Amino acid sequence: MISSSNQFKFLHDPDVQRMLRVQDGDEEAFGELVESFRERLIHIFSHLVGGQDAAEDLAQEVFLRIYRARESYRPTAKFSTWLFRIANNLAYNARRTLGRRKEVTISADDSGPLGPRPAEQLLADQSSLLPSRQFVTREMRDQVQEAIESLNERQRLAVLLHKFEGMSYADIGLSMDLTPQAVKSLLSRARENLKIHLKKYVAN
Amino acid sequence: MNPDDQSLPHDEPLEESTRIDPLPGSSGDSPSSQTPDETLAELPARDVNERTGETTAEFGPGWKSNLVAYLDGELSEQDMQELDEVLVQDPSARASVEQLRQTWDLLDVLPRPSVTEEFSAQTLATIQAIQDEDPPAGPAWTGRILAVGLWIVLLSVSSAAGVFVADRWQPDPTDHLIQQLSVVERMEVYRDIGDVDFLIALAETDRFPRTDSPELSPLEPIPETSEGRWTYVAKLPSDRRRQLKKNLEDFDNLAGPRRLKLEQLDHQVTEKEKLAKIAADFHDWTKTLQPWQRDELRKQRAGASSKVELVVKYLDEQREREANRTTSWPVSFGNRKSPVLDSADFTKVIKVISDRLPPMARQQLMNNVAAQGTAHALRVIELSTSSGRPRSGDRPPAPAGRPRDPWPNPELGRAIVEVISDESVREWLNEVPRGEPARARLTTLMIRSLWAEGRRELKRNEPTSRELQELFVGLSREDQDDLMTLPTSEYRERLKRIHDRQTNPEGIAHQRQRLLRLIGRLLPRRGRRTGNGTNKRNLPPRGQRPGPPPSQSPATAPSGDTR
Repeated sequence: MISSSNQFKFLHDPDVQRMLRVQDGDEEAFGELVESFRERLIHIFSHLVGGQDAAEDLAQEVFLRIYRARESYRPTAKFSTWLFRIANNLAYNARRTLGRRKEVTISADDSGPLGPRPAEQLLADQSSLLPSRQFVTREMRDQVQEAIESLNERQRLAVLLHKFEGMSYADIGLSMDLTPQAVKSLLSRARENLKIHLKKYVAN
Repeated sequence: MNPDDQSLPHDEPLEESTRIDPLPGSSGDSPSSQTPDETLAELPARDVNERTGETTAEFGPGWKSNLVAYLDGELSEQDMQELDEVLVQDPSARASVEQLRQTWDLLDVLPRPSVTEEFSAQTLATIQAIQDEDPPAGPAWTGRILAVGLWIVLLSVSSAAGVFVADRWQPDPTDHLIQQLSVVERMEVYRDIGDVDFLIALAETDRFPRTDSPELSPLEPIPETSEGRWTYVAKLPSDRRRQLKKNLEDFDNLAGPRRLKLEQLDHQVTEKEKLAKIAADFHDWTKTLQPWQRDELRKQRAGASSKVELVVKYLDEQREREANRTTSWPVSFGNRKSPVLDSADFTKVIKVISDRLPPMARQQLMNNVAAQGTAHALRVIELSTSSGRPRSGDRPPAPAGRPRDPWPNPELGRAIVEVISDESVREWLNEVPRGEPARARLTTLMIRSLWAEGRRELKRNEPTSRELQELFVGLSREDQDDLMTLPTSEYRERLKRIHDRQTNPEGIAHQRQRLLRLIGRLLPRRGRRTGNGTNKRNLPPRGQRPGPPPSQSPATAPSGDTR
């Protein structure tokens, strides 16, 4: 349990301050929260459940739940942590309901050692292979999409929260009910899987 | 209710080593608590670090599990150093790190969803719909269902026939609000008024001041149609809607006859614009009352005329307080019994002083012909008091260090008193207790009269509501925000002062510092009184008049004879 003494440190979070304004009946503050998180939420949901409509429905449900919970809200964590925790729960429920849960089997060679490569060659290759310098083809985008979808749900969420929300292991842990160490393992496995799926785009 | 508190089935409890306490207020029913941490199941047996989630400085076969955390800066300092050493020695480790980094960067190409503007509008509309009713949390698709439901409700109420049918077969408290919207929205105004008889009596008396704002709607008009009223309510901010709901409850809790009176009052106010104006004026005025006064007015049941009398009584008390404030600000000068000149006498006195200015001072006055009203009066008195010897303009100015002649000199004093037509003021100037110099009373009279004239000037130049509105629109956003935080009455007063400052910047109301300097110049050099009381160090013994300044010659000492 987060101690009450830690509550105060989250008061500096601008989104926590907005939420406290919502608690005081400031409707405008809630509008600001919707504006701030709508795209991020829909982005996460679109990768978790697939489909823009389903993602928007879930994002709207997150905001509704937050609004309904405004009176009992306590600033015991970053606002985004709380929000994505709700998102995590909703995504889980939605997948169960729709029977769309995917089980990912890890291939036998997914954790196999990569062959050693001279560092000099790696350095030479990498400058031309940085994604920012590559022409992003439709094929490449599809491959990345597939790679993300190949992850199991929890790996995917951890990756999305870390990559696109910049959340720390500790915050991801709070959102997903895991210890930071478990998040570390989760992300490690996820990224190894991604590396395997995307090896053709990575300097080898 | 906590949004986390949703019913999720439990499969298996999370292992203690990987569980954390849920966020306060949550049930702990998160997805992750239903199955053991998959990372443990997925990890090969050799990878102890992943199994326990702990890092170790021993980078044997498990060092790879730390590479991602290394890239993410989530390793402990010790582990970071250990892994640095591995990377220095092992090219394959460096390659792995680089590949992981490149893979991570590849995620940047993932498409970002385009979010429509409708999403926010729809979400906020749904929030508005649940605001009053606050239904229990539903399944994940409730959001869309609620939104669709809202639109259906809005469409259905737009049909008058639909509303009537709904009324007949299924009475709805929200429809009740729409029906009573006019009286409920103006509940605060009507509470003070009580009934239409009082409002008519108030409209008929000329003892209650009205604001001259024919161009402005006195009370916000309430739409007549149900559809219009729905839209009206939907556009209200949340606090207004909450107040509306509370007003409806209060209205419903009133006794039948009382409700009927308010409905009659609302009908008359809606029908007759004159009554609407007086209602708005009265409501604005009640905000300036003390709470107990407002309460007394509301409780007044002795009839319309008695209530009007009570209003007049409170008005008189306010005027008296205002008059005291008017004559005592900005500094405590004189006392409450000290009179002030009316506008006519004040103008005559200023002319007398102006006519007796020395030539140079008169020239300075003529150079500033733009100054009018109190701006002119202040300048005249300043020039007169700084000229040293008003009637001796042909004499050289007093040498430096020599005290200025007291103002006014006997001849000017006599001339001033002669033009004052108000007998009570003349008597007050003549009743000099215990030898108090009449000159002191004259200076008191002039300062207080100057300030009082400034207040009258403000009143004379009072802008119309339209002018105030235009002024407000022209203000900066910061100033507007600042003004909007004020109560209505104070808001108008502040706006009036801003208007006066713009149109009459030289007026006495905006020349406080000059007035204070003038007061300082006119006060006796000993026993000088200040706004904070008395300068006790120079105060003569109680009951004794202050003596002349040490350097003052007998020839220039105050004679006390001003007639």
